[in-house]
Amino acid sequence: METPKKISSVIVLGGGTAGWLTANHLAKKLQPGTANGVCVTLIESPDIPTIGVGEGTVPAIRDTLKYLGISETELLRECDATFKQSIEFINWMAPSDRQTHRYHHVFDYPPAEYAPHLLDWVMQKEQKPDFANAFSYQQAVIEAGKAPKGITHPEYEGVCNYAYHFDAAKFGQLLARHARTNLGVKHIQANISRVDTDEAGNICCLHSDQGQQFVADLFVDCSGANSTLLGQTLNVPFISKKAHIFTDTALAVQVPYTDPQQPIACSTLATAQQAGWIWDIGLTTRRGVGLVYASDFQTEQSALDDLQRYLGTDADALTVRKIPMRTGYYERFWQGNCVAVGMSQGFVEPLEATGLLLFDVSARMLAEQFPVTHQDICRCAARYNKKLRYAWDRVLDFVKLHYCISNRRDSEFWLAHQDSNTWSATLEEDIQHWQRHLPSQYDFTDRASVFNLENHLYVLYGMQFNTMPAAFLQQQADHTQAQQFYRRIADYAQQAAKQLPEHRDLLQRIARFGLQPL
Amino acid sequence: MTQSIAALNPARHGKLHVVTQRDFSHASEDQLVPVVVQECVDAATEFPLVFVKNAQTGEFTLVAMMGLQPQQNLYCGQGDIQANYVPQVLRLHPFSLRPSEQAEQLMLCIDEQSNCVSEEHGQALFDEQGNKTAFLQAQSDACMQFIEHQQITRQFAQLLLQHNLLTAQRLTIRLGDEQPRTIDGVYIIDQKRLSELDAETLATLNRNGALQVIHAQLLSLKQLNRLSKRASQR
Repeated sequence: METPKKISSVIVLGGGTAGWLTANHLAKKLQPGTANGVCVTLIESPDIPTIGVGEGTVPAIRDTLKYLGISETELLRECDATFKQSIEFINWMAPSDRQTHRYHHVFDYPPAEYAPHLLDWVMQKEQKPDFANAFSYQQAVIEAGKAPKGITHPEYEGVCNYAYHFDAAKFGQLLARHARTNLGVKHIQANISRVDTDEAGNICCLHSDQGQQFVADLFVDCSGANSTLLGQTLNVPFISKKAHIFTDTALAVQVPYTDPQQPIACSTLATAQQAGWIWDIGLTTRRGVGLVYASDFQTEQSALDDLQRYLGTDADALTVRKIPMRTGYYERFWQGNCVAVGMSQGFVEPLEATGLLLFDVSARMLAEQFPVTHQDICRCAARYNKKLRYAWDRVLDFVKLHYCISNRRDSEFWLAHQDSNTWSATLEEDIQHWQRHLPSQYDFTDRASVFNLENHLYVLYGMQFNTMPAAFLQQQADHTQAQQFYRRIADYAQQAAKQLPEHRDLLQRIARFGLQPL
Repeated sequence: MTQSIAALNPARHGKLHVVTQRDFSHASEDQLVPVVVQECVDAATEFPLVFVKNAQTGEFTLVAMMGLQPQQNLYCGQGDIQANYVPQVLRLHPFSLRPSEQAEQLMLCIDEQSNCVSEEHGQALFDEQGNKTAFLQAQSDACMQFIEHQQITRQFAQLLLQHNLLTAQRLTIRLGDEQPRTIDGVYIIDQKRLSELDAETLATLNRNGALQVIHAQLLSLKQLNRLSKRASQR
C-alpha cells in the first residue's frame, strides 16, 4: 500500500496583516526547522501596498498575541497602540426628547450571576438605567477617561476586558518581524505573474516576473481583495451580500491631535449618518476617522460633506482616501490545496471590527486543524468551509442587527434596513424569537460563532429592543434581588473609575517603563 | 513622618548641620525598604527580602520587609533600630539624589524635617564660603554609589525575568491565635525553575554573582518568623 504523501511545505501569498498573521499561526503550530516540522514561506509583492486600515480589534486579539509570544509592551510601543474597551454607538437610534442616543457595547461580560436579573431589567418600563451601566462597571471606567488596567498589571491582564486600536501598517511589520526572527518563517519578495494548476484543479506552481518558481504542498491565499489564487485562478464564485449590508465605500482620513496631551478615547466611536456611519479611533499619535456609506443611497459629494461636518474645521487640510468595499464571501474558502485567509475570503464593513477577528479565527483554525497528508485535505477543507461559512453568516447577521432594530426613519437607507425583506432568514428568526424570549445560551451553542450572547445583549438592549416574555415568566422577576445586583455593580464602578489611571498617562508610563511579564 | 525634601543649596542650607548619631524615626512607618543586591547577603540575615512592583512604574523593586502590614515597621522604634544590619538607604538619610524637574540630572537633596537636621549640633554641610564640607562630599558620594547599585539591582531583576525565575507568592502569616493573614503583590525566586536551569546558565549566574543573591533571597524568607514574633510581642 502506498503511504499518503505528507504535507511538508506551505506558501502564504501576501504580506499584509492577514498574510503575516497566518504565517505566525502556521509557524507557531507547524514548527518549521524542526525534524517533523512544516516549512512556512511567505511571498510578498514589493509593489503591492497594504491597505493599512482596520485599526480596531476585539479582545480575542490578546489571547492570540500572547499565544504567539509577542510582548504587549512591544505592541503598545511600536504600533502607536491604545486600549479599546468598547464601541460607543452614537445616533443609531432616533433622538428622544432631543437627546442624542448613545450606548456602549462594552467588552466586559456581566458578572456570572447576572442571568436572573436580565428578566427584571427587561420588565422595567420607566427610568431604568442603561443596560451596559446596569450590568457592567466598564462604561463608568470609560466615561471617566480611565484605562482598563494599571502599570502594575502584567502584560495582557487588566481590571477590565480590552482590545486595542493600532496603526495597522505598523502592526503588520511587528507580525512580520516576529514571524521571521522568532518563528522561522521564510520571507521572499516577488511579484507573482503566473499561477499553474494541475488537471485536478490544484495549484502546483507560482511563477514570479523574474522567472522564479515556487512550489509547495499547500497554498494560503492572503492576497487581499484580489483573491489571486482562490478567486482569480480557481474561479470559486463570489456570493454578494450587498442585499443585506448596503454599505460599499469607505472614505478614510488621518487626523492629527491639536494638543499632544489631548485625552485619548478608550472606545471606538461609531456615529451613525444618513447612509452609513463614521468610525473614530484614537491612536497615541493621531486619530483615524472614516465614513462607511452606501453609494446606492448617497452621492460621494454628500458623503464627503457628512465626513467634513463630523470633523469640523480640521477637515480642510486632510487627504481623504477612498476605499471600495465588496460585501460578501467566496462560495468556498478552501478548494483543493488552496486556502484563503483575509479579504481573499470575503469582506464585511468594519462595524464591530470583524475584519481582523475573522482573519485570526481562520488562520488559527487552519493551523490547528492542519492536514497531515494529502489524503486529509478533502476532509479538512470541508470542515473549514462549513465552520467559516457559519462564522461569516453570524458576523453578517450581527452587523445587520445594528441597523435593522433601529427606529431611525430619516432616510431611505435606514428604512430599507428595517424592511425585513433585506434580512437573512436566520436573523429574522432570531429577532422574532427575542421579541418573545430572552436571548440565552441556547441561541449560541456553536463555538465558531464569534459574537456571543453577551455581545448581542449589549447591542439589543443598548438599542432598546423590546422583549415581551410570557406572563408566567414576567411574574418571576425578583426586583429586590436585581436592585442589589445593580447597586453592587454601581459601587464597583465608582471604585474602579477612581483607582484606574488615566488612559494617556498609562500609555506614557508603558512607553517609558514597559509592562512586566508577570 | 512628614518629609520636606529640598535640593541642597548653600544659600538656603548654609547653616545646617546633620547629627550623625543616627535617628531612624523617619522610617518608623516604612513597611518596605528598598535594598540593593550588594547588601543582600547582609540584609538577608535580618529581614525577608522580596520583590514588589513600584506603584508608579510597575518595575520590580527589591525590598526588605520590616512590617507585616502597611505603615508598620517592626524594627524602628523610638528613633533607634533593632537590627544587626541597617539597609543603606536608611543610613543615607536625610540625604538622597533625586532627578531635577526636567529629569536631566540628579540633585543632592535633604529632608529638611528630619530629626537629624539641626542648626547647632552635628556635622556642618557647608563651610563659610559656601563650599561643601568633606562630610557632605562623602554623603554625596555615598548617594551616588547607591544610585549605581540600584541600577545594577534593576539589571538583576531583568536577569531573573529573562530566565523566568520570578514568581508571584502569597505570604501567609500566623500570629498567635489570630486568623492567618495573607500578603499579596509579593514576588520571589521560583525554586523549581531555578533547579531546572541548565549548567551553562547556572555557571554564568554564579560567575556574575547573581546566584549568591538568589540564595540570599530564598533563605531570607525564613526571617518572616522573626517578623511574626516581633508582631506578636507588640
